[in-house]
Amino acid sequence: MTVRQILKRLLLAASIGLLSACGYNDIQSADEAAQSTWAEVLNQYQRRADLIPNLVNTVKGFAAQEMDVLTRVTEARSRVGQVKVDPADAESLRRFEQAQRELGGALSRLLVVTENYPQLKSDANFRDLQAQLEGTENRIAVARKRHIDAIQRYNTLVRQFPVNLTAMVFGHGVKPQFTVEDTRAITTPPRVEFNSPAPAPAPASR
Amino acid sequence: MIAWLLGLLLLAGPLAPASAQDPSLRPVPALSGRVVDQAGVLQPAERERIEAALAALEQRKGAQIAVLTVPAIAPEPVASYALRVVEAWRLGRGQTGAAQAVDDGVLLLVVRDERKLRIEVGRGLEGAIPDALAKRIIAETIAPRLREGAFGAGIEAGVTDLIRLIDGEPLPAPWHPAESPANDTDWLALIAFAVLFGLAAARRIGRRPASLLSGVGGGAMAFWQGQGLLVALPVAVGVAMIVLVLAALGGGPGRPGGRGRVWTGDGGWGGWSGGRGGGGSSGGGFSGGGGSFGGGGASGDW
Repeated sequence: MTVRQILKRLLLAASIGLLSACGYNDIQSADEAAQSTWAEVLNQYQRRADLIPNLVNTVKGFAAQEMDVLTRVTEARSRVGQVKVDPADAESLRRFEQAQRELGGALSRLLVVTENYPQLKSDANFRDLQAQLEGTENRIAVARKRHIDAIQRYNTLVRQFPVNLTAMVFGHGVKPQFTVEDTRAITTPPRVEFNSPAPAPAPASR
Repeated sequence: MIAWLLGLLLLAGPLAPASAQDPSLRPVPALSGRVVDQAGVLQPAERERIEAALAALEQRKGAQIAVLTVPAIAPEPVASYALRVVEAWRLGRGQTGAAQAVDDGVLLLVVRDERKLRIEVGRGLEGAIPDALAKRIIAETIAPRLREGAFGAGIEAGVTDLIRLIDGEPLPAPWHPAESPANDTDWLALIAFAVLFGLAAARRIGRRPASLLSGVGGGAMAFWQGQGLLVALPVAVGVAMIVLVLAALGGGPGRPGGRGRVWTGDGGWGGWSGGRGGGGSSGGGFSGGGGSFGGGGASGDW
């Protein structure tokens, strides 16, 4: 009886060893890495959103007539706050990215507009905010890149034989990835247009 | 048999991540010292002064600052190049054993021909050197001097400012380079591996030699993992007993181990990777301490 119990336990230990040899532990650590990089992405987006009220107020002090651009930033920020995102759900991930992209667009329009206000540009507070915003955008880019890499490692792992069998047994599916064209847009530095912030005038019709 | 064992050990080595590097990008230079002057903009005297100040900072606070000058990095943006450099150099103190990671590294990057600057700040110093202050150091301290062509003066003044900010930050005491990194051994995997090996061997060379062999092997692995004899001996005996019993009962999985894919050892074997080294403040060599960066800092130009 006791021998049999010992034997059972040993077999259990051996099968756990086998599990680690067929990638179970690898899946767990890749999954954990993907989750922590995702948390970092959220964290940095949140950091950007937290900067916005201060930025909007500062700009308002110098350029109150740019109400249109300012409200667009505020609206985009509140939309970002409303999106419920589940990193395992491709559709909600897409909506989340869409909202963040709109916020990024509204922010860069705001920064373009501020070019017209020399006083604002020389304001120390505004310059600090701008530096923080730049730094945050860079952190977002870094966090996204690391998340994309982590997801890629995870997905490669759970698709490959023989780990895919283990993944199937334990229900570890492929995770949705950030969209690729968007990564390209985010890794190239933003273009600053010096002409007019307004949408380009339509080409003269014949 | 021995060849097979060797093969297993070789296979079990850490799988180095193949980093797909775009050949059009400028490669990250080797970390040959605290100041890596690839653009050749510093006089020997200036360089020595900066290096001495940085070494003194590491002695005093433990934080690692490095300066890199390169001729050009186009078409890569400066932030992306700086990140690749710090990911390779791993400045600042990373996690060592039980000690919490401090991540107190800073890189000052000067791109000579494109007139670009970047201060890349490790995670642990983002409080001492917030982006706004990094930006100010670039715009108000370094850039004006570089505009005059005074590279040495600009870099030195910038480094002095960074040191001043770090001195204001309470950081854990500096490292005393300690050898023997505390490895946490994956016991279950180690024992299971040794047992499975023993069971496989039992079919070929008989129970007793196999149990002896796997016991010695398991003990040796434990010893090699940095455990003392007090731990390694019981492991050896335990493994030998288990193999003996299991093999005698005719038990054990039908195809022990699986030959194609073996223990890749994510827990136990990784003791030789980057960030475990000891500080490097002694002996002239300089190496990063394994600190991590999250993209903090600021860029600018002159």
